[in-house]
Amino acid sequence: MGSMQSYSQCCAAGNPISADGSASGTGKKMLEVSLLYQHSYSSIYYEGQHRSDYTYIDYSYFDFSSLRLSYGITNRLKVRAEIGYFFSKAQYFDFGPGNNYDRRANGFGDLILGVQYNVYQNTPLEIDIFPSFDFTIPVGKFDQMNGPVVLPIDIQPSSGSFKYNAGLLLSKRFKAGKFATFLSGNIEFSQRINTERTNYKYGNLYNVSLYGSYTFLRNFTAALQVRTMIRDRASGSDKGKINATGGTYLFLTPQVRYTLLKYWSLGFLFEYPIYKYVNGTQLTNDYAFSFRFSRTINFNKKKPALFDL
Amino acid sequence: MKANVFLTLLAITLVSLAGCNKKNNPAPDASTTFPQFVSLTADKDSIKVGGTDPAILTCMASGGNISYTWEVDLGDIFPLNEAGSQVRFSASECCLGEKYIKCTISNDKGSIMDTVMLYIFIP
Repeated sequence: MGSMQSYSQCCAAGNPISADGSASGTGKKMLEVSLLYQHSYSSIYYEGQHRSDYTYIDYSYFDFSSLRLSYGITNRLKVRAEIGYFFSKAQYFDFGPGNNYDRRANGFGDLILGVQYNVYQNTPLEIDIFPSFDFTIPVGKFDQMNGPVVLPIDIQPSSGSFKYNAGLLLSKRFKAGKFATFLSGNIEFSQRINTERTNYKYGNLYNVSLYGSYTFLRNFTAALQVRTMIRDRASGSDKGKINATGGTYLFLTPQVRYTLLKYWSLGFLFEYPIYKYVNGTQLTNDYAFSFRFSRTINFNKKKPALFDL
Repeated sequence: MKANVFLTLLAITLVSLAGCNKKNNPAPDASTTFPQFVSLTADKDSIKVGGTDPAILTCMASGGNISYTWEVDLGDIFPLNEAGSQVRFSASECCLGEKYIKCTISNDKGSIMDTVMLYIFIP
């Protein structure tokens, strides 16, 4: 599992979710380098669990990229680091004739450092259990401006908050890995942002994901992930809960991955929210999709080849 | 030989940095004075949630060569003129209650800030 930040609702920022719900099998002295591109689009307001005709932000979107390094210190212990960059993060407002506004930001998001340990391994049954911990450091931009106006928290590239994420992943493989299932869950706590300008705490985030995959034609893997995400209400400067923040979402994420020359892979996933329940009235996500390009480098060999068959 | 090259590069770097500093700290403009607020006003003290009932905030300042910076923790501010002395403020449901909009005016003599409070409500 990778980072578990969330974007798409009111007042959330920072790196979006970049994990695909599976566990990568990086072994000892194996480095996996992943490059991700993600596009997300939001235009639908919800009130509770129903679509609302409320209009405020006409639409918003972001184009995000991240670089992730994952390295196996031992066969069981893996460390990882991810840095995010927003090419564009934009919001368009339509308040009627002659009252159209837009604003955008770009720049580095957050840095995420994490560790994952294979605490239980049953080779005959092909079952593994991986607890993990991720720490988010808001290294990116949190003070971008639109002319003379400091942009609000929800469009800044960085979340501006230190975050702590604890997760657990259960993996079960069948037929030597041809079929695989992963059940994962994680909880994320955000530290209160307390600067001269901002006093804000993102709501706690809870994710539960079920992932199933099937490998066919030797190099192709098709997968389907169902993910529930619950975010608590945020709290503002008076430490009271902000009503129109947080909610419950159910995402369906079909994905496909192609593995080339053993160590290269290209993946695509499409994330669609099939259920939404929001507190108050909020702008919600329509869809998101991402491409991931990965290369695994094996440092166990004396002379690693670029194209290793 | 290596020491000479190192010393030459060091000298070039120091000269460049000195030049940069000079560029970033221009001589004070004699025609300006420390910025002062003449007025900071909003055309209303409470607004309905949404985009159809915005407040217009106007800042008038003295001191010369003034630049304006506006900020609020939650809510949406859009500039209405090129100078940035007038802005439009509205808010969605996530920003109900009292909101303090901060305006900072600055020039080469310094900067000073003031706030305007607006109340956002659901009608």
